[in-house]
Amino acid sequence: MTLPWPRFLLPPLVLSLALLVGSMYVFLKGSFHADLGVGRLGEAFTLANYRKLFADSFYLNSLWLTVQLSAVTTLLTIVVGVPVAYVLARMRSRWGPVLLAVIVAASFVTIVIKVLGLNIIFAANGGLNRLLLELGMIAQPLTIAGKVEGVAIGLLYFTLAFIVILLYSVMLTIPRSLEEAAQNLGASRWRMHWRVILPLALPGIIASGLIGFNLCMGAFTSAALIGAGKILTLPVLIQRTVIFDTKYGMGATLAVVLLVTGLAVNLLSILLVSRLNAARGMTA
Amino acid sequence: MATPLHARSAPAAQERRSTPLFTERRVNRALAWVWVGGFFVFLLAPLAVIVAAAFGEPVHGRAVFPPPALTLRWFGAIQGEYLTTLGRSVALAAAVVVVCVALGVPAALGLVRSRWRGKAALTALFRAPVQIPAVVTGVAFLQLYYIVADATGWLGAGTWTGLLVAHVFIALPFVVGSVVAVVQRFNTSLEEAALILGASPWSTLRRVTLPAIAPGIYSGATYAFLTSFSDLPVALFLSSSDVRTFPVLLFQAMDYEFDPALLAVATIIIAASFVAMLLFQRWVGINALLRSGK
Amino acid sequence: MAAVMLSGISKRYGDTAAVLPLDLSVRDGEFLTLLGPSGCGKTTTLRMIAGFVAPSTGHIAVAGDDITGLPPQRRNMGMVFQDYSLFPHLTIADNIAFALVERRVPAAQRAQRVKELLELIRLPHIAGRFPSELSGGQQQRVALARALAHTPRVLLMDEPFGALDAKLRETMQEELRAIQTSLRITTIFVTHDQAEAMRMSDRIAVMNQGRIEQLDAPRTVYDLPRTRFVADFVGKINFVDATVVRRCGDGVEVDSLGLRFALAAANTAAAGDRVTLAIRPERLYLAPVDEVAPADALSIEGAIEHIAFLGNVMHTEVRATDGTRLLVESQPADWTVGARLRVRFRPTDASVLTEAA
Ligand SMILES: Nc1ncnc2c1ncn2[C@@H]1O[C@H](COP(=O)(O)OP(=O)(O)OP(=O)(O)O)[C@@H](O)[C@H]1O
Ligand SMILES: [Mg+2]
Repeated sequence: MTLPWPRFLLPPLVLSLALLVGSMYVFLKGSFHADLGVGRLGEAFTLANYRKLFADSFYLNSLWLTVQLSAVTTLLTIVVGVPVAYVLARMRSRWGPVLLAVIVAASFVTIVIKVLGLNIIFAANGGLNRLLLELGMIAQPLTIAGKVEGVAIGLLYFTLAFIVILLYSVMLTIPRSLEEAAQNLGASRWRMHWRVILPLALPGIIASGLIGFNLCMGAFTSAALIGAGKILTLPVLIQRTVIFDTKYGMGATLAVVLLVTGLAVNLLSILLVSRLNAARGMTA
Repeated sequence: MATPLHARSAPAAQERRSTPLFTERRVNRALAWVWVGGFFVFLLAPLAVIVAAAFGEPVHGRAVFPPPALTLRWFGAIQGEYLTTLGRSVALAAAVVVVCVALGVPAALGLVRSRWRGKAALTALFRAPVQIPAVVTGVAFLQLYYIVADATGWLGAGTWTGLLVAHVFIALPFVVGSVVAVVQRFNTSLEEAALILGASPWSTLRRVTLPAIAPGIYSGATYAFLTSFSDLPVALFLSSSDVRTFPVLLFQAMDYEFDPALLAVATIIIAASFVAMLLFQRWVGINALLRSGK
Repeated sequence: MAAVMLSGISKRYGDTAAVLPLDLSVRDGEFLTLLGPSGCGKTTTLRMIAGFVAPSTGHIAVAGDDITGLPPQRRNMGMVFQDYSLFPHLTIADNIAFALVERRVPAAQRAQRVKELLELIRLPHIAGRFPSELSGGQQQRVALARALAHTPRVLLMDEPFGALDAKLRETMQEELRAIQTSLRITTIFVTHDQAEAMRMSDRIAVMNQGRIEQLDAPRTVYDLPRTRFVADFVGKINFVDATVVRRCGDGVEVDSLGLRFALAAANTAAAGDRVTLAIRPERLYLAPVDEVAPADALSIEGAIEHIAFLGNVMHTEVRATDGTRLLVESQPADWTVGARLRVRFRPTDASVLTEAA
């Protein structure tokens, strides 16, 4: 059908482009200017912010912490999520869609509320800690505030439901007949999972993992709320640098580093996946 | 997981004859259910705890789980400000949906159907906001608004319009993405059928194309709504004490003495999420949400 | 006046010619089939008539009006697609009424027309259902009703029964033909199934590589194919080399199989030309060597090389004394491989192909 399609595209394109370029240019170019305090930036072009960032272990630690936390959380998400997604995708009872709907609904609830719930669960005088203390399983109450493990749990809640939904659609694309074929060839269920399903799902799993990783790298809320000023991931640090220190230049520098790191990890994984696919193409 | 084929095949028959308690199949099955069950407990625990605490008597003025006794008092204690903030958050998200659909549906149609070289680059451009951490978007818009204010005198930060524009920016990719997915799969012979039956291209768009891609629009709209409604980082930078979204209010409330009435509000939101999901499932089908997730 | 007239219509896609310049005149009320193998340009031709594809050259006229530049929505045609293409979000009644709504027909009239059409396709009870709630055959009938609702000038169908199973296909063919005959609507039908084309059509245009190779009534196409391609595409056939001895009236006298006989020939073959004769296996008869042939029949001696029993018929391969191999289709009989016999035929059952041999 012929309608003036390019003309349809024009208004949203102009708006998106203006907002993207406008906001990012204004902010990120600040990374090349010195902070003069109270939010003002120097006129001269300088790399001082970058030099400072890469010389200061405080910033480097934050970067490393962010990458580590994101990687570990993503790995956890995948390990927890893949079996769940697989079972749900293979489920034939009418409860399948209901369970799926529950996961989707859970992903609808803002992370702020989920963290609120986590705080109640891990309250020092909460039911969980009282129970564990009475059972003698712990000596000190388990808390999450200000702890790396706590932030990891928060990040897990940030991505888990969404990633399981992604993994579910990945699992749906693996034809059931393949599994039956594998079993008819005498493969046990465990071997079949390893040798048939996992390799087939791997590109999809990696893609989902990548999305999860990106989400974690940029995650602010759980890190800020649970980290309580002690666990400073890059997004938290950016917010603090800008709001509390009013150092837009340094904030922008951190943002650039965050963006570039995320981009690099993405490119690497894409390379890995295409290698993987190429290798499979050769054996097939 | 028994297909008719399996039911008749040898292992199943063996099972029946010897009936050992722990066949490989049963053990696998049990393991799977324990894993899935554990997952759901884990996933829903924070939400369940909030709901329980919202109906619970406080201990030393604080909500706890498990609550010592049940009460509805927190729902009575919901302050007017909470509800107006919640209402504004919903209204903001709704406005974001309207603007995103108005921009995103034509954009998706244009993206799929224009025949130029640079389409891949444009698609990437529309996706870009998703790749940018929300904190970065928040700061960037804050600065952009200051610059615009210098030039025009209008300050976007701390206004609903400012929030709307920034939220449209972060939500638009979801609408474009979902709609592109359905338009690509859309069978154009439906449009040809309409044309040959006498419908003009515009009439075809209205009577055939848009209804046929509606599931994609609904799913994009849902994601856009949630993006706006659950966003904290962007709103945190662009809010003022008069203009703030509910997540911002909740975030700020957690810093200070926490008012358990907020648990009641959170409970309402949780309940609304589940109801909304049910309705979506009933009207559109959950698959629409899944496809666009990719 | 022809209902649909294609003059010099062609379509090129870059370097590939989907349809070479062709002329075709479809008669009023006629059921005309475009028949040909995959990729021969049937769909492209039909879509040019519908207005979805702009022809590279040529003109299309309907009832004398040039419609070449007219968009599809102003051609007043009906079309049935292979995948039905029913609007999934509309009920069956709304699907059928679609064209009427576009034409601002009042609701009461629309309802009446929908009712008529549902009765025509013998599905009066499904008005309120959605397409997804119908079987393939039902959907195809609804698609037909929808295409007829606005009483179009021409009905176009592109392999409409391609997705149906063999049994249902036959039923649908009969029903379509009955409806078409009763409405006398000019119909252009595309298929690659020669049996379907034979069963339904008033005339068949056999297409090959963007060309119409023969346009004739089914019987003529079958009995007297004009080209090797047509002969081969439509059923099994024997090709026999021949040399023209001389022209005589409408036909030629040829030398073939060691015999000399006259037969009709549309082409311009002249004395001395080498030509190819085509004759259907079921036009050949097996006879004992010593049996006397009827006066109008010719016969040639040979030996059986191979026999295939197919249930209702038997296929016998005979090697004639001059070396030509002939396939004979006959009632099952007690012939054995190696037996000597005579293959008998009437010269009028053979046709002379237009191409040079
Ligand atoms: N849009 C197009 N771009 C390029 N080539 C095309 C296009 N449409 C058709 N062709 C080519 O034109 C030729 C004729 O195609 P057409 O679809 O008309 O064949 P058909 O006879 O309908 O075949 P089938 O029986 O397979 O449907 C084919 O070689 C095809 O590849
Ligand atoms: Mg075709």
